[in-house]
Amino acid sequence: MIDLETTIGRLRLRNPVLTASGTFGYGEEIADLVDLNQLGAIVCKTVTRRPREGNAPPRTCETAAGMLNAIGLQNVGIEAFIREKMPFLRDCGTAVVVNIAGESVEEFASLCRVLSDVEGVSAIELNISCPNVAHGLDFATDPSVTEDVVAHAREATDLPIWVKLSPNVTDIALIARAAEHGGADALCVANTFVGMVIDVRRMRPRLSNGTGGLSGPAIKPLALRAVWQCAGAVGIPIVGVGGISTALDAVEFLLAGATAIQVGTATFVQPHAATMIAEGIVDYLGQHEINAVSEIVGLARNL
Amino acid sequence: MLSTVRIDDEIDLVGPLGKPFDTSLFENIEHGNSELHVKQTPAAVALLVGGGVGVPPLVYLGQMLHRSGVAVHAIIGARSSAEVICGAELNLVCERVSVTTDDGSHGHKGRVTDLLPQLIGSLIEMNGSLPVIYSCGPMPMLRAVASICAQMGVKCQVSLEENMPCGIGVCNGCVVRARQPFAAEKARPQNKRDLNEVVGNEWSPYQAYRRVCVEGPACWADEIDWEHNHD
Repeated sequence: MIDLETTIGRLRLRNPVLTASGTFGYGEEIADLVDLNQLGAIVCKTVTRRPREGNAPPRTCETAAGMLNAIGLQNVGIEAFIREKMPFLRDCGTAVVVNIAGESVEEFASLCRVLSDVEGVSAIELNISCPNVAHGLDFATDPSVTEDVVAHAREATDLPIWVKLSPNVTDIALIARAAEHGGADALCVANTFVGMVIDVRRMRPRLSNGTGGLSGPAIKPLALRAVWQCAGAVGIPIVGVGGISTALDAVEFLLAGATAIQVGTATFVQPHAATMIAEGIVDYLGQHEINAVSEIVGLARNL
Repeated sequence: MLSTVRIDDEIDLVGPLGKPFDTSLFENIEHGNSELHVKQTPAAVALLVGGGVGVPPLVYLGQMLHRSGVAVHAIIGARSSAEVICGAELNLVCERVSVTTDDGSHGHKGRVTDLLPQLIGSLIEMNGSLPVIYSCGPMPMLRAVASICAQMGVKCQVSLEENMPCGIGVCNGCVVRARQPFAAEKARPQNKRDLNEVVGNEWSPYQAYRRVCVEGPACWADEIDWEHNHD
């Protein structure tokens, strides 16, 4: 019997496959298509203090082997999230990680405080790296600001804190260390890469926001490299994300040092992508006569 | 991908997705609570307005409506006669199909909206009742059709188009700007059944943009904020 149990700090999950924030709504929307009991955890769409409209459309466009998105953090706001979305989530059969974003260090801390009292929250993921809102990247591009926001969040809650890093930096390992110093329990590596498309017929950027976040298979080698670098820089677990579409993609990230992974864009192509990846990891382990997924974490690093 | 598949290849399909055209105005429906019954007089006439590749979705609708005894009319437009499609299929189920081409190579030279006001007017006169308009095509066309229908007081269903990454309502990528309640009133959502994200009973900024893939693609034209939507 192959063991997929995954431990991220204090959090024990049934398997290492999670869904990425912004790609699975609040879970309920997709629950009739996907068996949530086969996932390690769901990471919700980013919640902010106030409800947000999001950016004007066009918000997305396809690129070679990927897509750009500039959603702009459209969400129901923390009050409505707790009231309308958590009831389903706490009984949905899998762990719930709540992704949050604030416009200030205080706002991050305040959201953490509020969520500490909410039943059913397994962990908080700090979105300090959204490239599609004003000041969104300000946190994740500066190591001392990163450490500061994490430290304030740390003071505000006992829940596990994961920090989602931006890859749009010169040295992601530097930011990773700062987050670790601030008290992060785990790192999520990494958010989308800033990119753009110009519409040559209309002679202007395709996205209303101008730039957007690039995701999908195109970024896999870049995200994998980021995971590799962060795994070498910190002692806390890493949740790898970026371009994972198949089980073997996921295995690459685990071998690079990620304890768990998230599946995002692939869900748009195949709603069952995440659960299929979980099954595929079992096949891989079986083929290699390995009994537990935890045994392959960081194995590619033992040279 | 679809251009490369061959007969007997297997493909994955997720569907049906989204809201189809609303034909409830043609049905005999009783509204209201136990104290007040309002019987809706079913509409009897449908006018299909299609542009370019927006025409094919109207064919099935036309066939369905025709089968239920509705009188169907159509205006279809294309850039040139070579691009006029589904004329034959529509002729089988419509009382009349008018064609427009940008270059005049077939039918009326100009746009579908050139013919629309007069046709709506004559349908109202002929039947003594309001037709229901169904429209599918490029956004500028839908905007113009919606405007004419609003001015003439007729209900119009439009089928919207937007890049849809997921198609199942989880990413918020495919949104259109919905008509906002006036800022002065903290209004209840106009169409509660259509707003999956009713936040308490008050309108939330979250509802400013609605997903075409689940709260559409077909919706009533007067639910859309046409002025603030892009082409």
